[in-house]
Amino acid sequence: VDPGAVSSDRPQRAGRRLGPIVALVAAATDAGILARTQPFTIASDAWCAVSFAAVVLFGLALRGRTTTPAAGPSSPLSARRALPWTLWFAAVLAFELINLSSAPRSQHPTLSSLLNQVMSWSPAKALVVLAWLVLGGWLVRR
Amino acid sequence: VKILTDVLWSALAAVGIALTLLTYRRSAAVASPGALLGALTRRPVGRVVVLLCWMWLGWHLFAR
Repeated sequence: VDPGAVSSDRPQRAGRRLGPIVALVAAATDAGILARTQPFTIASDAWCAVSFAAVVLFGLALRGRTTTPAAGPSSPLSARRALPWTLWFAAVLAFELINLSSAPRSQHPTLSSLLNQVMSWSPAKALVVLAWLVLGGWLVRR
Repeated sequence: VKILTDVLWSALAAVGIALTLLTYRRSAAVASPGALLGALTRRPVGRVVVLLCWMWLGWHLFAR
């Protein structure tokens, strides 16, 4: 083994390990700040835009530096295996639209109004924001 | 009406959780959520659409 090759590989490996940790700390900080903003304010709009940009930039920077499990050719997605989720999603969408077109909202809660009740407590909102950021990072890295 | 709405939302959530748990079985007849998203994002157009949906979700939940 060439010792020079090993030592030159070390910073890359350290970067590969540190990248996700830095991204997670940044996402947690971002979630904490966004959770403290009030909806329908310039601050919440601006911080959402910052979050979009940060996730896209972090995702693109980490892309290829970390290994993500790829969907192997041995398990192709068949229409039969996707059918239960398609039916479930159609049911959720239909019920959401029924509730959206009904009033009052207290009697016909939509998904976002239910989630708003959970997010009225700011630590819970921070967790929801963090989950949303992690999902975005995962989508960008694909 | 409120009780019926709550029961239906809870039932839909329970079915979603059950479907997710079913994907862990070895001979799963249900695709995992990751496999579904993977299929949706295989093409660049699908990737952009899913990313736009993700952006709208965040804006709708946290800013509006």
